[in-house]
Amino acid sequence: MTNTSESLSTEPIPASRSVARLIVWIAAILITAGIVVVFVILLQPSSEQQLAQALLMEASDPHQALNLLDSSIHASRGNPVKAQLVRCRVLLLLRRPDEAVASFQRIDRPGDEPEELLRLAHAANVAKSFSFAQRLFEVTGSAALSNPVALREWIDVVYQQEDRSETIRLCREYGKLVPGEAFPWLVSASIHHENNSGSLAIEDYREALRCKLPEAEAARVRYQLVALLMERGDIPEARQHCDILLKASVDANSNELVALINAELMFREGHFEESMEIIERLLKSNPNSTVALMIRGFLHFEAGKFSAAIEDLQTVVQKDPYNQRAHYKLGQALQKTQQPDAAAIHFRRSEELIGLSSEIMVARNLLANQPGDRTLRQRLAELNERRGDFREAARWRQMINRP
Amino acid sequence: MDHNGSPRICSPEKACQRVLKLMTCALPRVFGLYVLMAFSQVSCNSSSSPPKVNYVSPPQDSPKESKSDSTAAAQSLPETSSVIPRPSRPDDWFEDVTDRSGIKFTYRNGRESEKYTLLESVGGGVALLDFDCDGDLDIFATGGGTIGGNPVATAGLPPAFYRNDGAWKFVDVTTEVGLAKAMDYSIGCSCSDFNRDGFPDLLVTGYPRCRLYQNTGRGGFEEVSTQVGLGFEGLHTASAWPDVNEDGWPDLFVAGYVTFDLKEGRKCGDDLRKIKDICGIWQYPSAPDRLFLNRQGKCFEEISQQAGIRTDGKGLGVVATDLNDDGHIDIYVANDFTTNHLYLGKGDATFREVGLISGVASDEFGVPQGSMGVDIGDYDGDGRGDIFVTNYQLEDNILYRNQGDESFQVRTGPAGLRDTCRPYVGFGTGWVDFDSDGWLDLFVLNGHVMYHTGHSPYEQPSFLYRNDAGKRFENLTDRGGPYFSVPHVARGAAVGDLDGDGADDMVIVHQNAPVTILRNKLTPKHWICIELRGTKSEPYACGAVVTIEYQGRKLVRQLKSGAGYLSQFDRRILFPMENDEPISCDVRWLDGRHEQFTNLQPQKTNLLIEGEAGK
Repeated sequence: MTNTSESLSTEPIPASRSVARLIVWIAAILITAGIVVVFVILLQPSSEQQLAQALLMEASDPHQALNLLDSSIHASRGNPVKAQLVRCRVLLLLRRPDEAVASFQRIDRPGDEPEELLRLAHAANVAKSFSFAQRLFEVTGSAALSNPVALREWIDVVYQQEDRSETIRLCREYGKLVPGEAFPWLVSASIHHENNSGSLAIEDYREALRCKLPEAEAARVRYQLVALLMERGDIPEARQHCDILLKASVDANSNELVALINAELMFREGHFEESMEIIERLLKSNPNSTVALMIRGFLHFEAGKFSAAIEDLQTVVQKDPYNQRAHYKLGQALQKTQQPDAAAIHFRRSEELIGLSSEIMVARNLLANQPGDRTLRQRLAELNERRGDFREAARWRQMINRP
Repeated sequence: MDHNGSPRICSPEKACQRVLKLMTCALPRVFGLYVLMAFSQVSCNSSSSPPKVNYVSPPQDSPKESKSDSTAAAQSLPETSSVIPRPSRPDDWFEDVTDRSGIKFTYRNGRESEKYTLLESVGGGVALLDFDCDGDLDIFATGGGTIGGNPVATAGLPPAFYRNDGAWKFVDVTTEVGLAKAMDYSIGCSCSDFNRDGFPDLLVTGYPRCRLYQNTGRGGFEEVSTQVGLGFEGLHTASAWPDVNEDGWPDLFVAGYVTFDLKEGRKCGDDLRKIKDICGIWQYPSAPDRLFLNRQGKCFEEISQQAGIRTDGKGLGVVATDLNDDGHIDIYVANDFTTNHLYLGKGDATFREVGLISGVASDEFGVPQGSMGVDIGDYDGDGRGDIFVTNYQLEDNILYRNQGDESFQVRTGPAGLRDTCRPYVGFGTGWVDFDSDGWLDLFVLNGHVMYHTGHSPYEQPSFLYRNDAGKRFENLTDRGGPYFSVPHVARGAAVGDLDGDGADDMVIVHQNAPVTILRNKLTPKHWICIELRGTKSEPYACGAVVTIEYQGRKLVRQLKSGAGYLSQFDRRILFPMENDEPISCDVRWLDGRHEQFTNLQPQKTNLLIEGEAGK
């Protein structure tokens, strides 16, 4: 045996054994490498982990988050809708809205992730990409319609997009979703009021008043309603609301305004003496009130005191040359005092102002059918300027170049 | 009040805030009155999806067939009232005698075609005239028409003519009098003796043509439109026959409504509710009114431009009489959506239009209304003709009190006429002393023009107001009778004493629903009927004023042409009397001459011929 072992230790290694040893070594190396690779692979974050990491980093390091999201989308085996949506959101954070829109367009079935879609819509709204946000809310559909917060934001977005009929539609949906909240009614009332759709605005203000509102706010809404009702000539209902306002003392300024509107209501109801009493009191505290002067002018006219009416109404039209009613009554008073030429000037002005209102209405209705028509927006700006509604004119001017 | 305009908003949250901030900035403006008709246009030339067409071919020969057709179509329409009228009561002012009168006729507006043309909104009228001069009033009603085909066209439906055989029996004589042949799409009607032969002639307005029918004096009518030069076209509504050049021949004023192209196929509606409807009037340009001089009954010559007739109105109501007592005919035109016009005549067929400066063009703040029906009468007993106009929904009907200095004061509120009719679209109206107390009462007939998109229903209640000694009007609708207890889609109406009992009865035309005959139950104990015949003046003495004494006061009645809505009232005047003693009356003819007619007999019609007082 010894000999044998000696012989073994001294004899050269046979070739076959060397090959075997080599194979073992290679195998060992390969196994080790494999193990390393496996470890490496196992240690590398998954698509989901990358997404999770990107979500954590999106605010602090959006660029890194974007890289992670790219990796995540790349690594994803299924449809990486969520990562793609988050990527769009990060692009919006990086102020690259066009890329976000383009990226969104490549997403297959974005509606699979409604919650993420709502977050993206919110981001688009924050980034002022309103048309993108509107598109996202539309894709979200029922998810947004059943979520009060999202729906409220959707309303905001369509409002920004000047899509008034859609805003009203969504307000109706909101009203169904959250009954008893005044918000949707006030928004739609405001739109109707702005569009001179007085009767629709009145309906919505009434609805708003049926909702829970703090006392002071309810008083203000009611005031708006009274003003509109009076403008529309619905004196009995205006009186009902005005009486409620008279009982609810809000603050001194409000009280004065309510007194003013009460005076006009009294005038419209034919209670001329009572109206005059209120007006004289108001003019003592605020002698420059054009509204009070106008009502006093009307009252003088009714009493046949045409010279006094002329004096008041001339003051009014000097201060407010766009006051159609004052021009008309002044024209009548001048006519009564045999000053037909002077009367004609004010009658013409009254007619011109009324004509402008009609033209505005026609232009707005045409625009409703051709929302992209910039000429109509320009025309609306000009017409409102001529009517003295400079804020509205400015609004239309801002919109001229919008798509 | 504050004319900074509505505050603007940049977000819905701010919209809320705006409302809540309003105390400091927003006060009403007065421009929002037309928006009610501002329904967004949903299709123009919508060739991609042509609407369903159920074109009803107009029957040419048999009016009876046409009536059965139209009745069948009417029955299929959804707007037919399902509300049952309340039972009649002893204190009712009116009794519905339609069934027993034998009158079965329906004005058809062509709605079944679903074309939603503006034409459908206008409605029809009725004329009360004694065509055969037998002393009682016969009834003519326009037939309307159908709309359909490709390209879209209208076809007239035959009118109806009923002879009054007394005791509330009326006989359909449409064929016998030569009116059975379908006209154009007919709308309104008026009467005059244009050729001064003593028989009332008939003008039928409509689209695209108006037609003049001359009474042959042999129990029939012949169309003479083309022969006398009345071949004009357009959409014309109300008409009147004032003698504007004071030559004794009645001239013709016809109100133009709007210019529109039927083939355009314009439809409107409510996007939110996905409803199609008739487009708002503001979408159409005005059609000019027309004034024609009557050349001695042989032909008519249009003088609109020379006469100073404006072209910017959308006329639906016309009434002519002497409003400023200057001995010349004046014409008042109630325009839809645009200012109303008052033409003060100079007697030479020219006019001064003073609507705006006299205060009758608009409401008390200068805002034009959607005016439809109109009448003139002395409601307050001051001897001057006051104007009452019916208006669109959310606009009060307006009472303009004549102040005698060519100016008028809006007295709607003080007279108690505000609010009751505000939700409704007013059409037929008239000053009539229904209760024979010497004070002119009022009726107002309503019915929407939009089928679905209006802010009030298509069928609407009518109203009756009793004049309380010229001071206020009492809403007496509840005592109007069963007719007034249910809503209708009413349009034209005419008033006259159909049964010769001294009380004015009513005939009312509806959209696609049968004509209604209302008998006035308040038969006066003592009464007198006066009929004027002009010799120097035109035969019907339009512009003359009749005054009698009654209970220590003077009852003044103006003779007018036109009035109401698309209809012809009986031109005779009924007065109450204190007893059966013969009375006298004063007639001021148009030229200012007064004549005292004495020994007028009660309980009958007294014919007063110009220049023959005391003969």
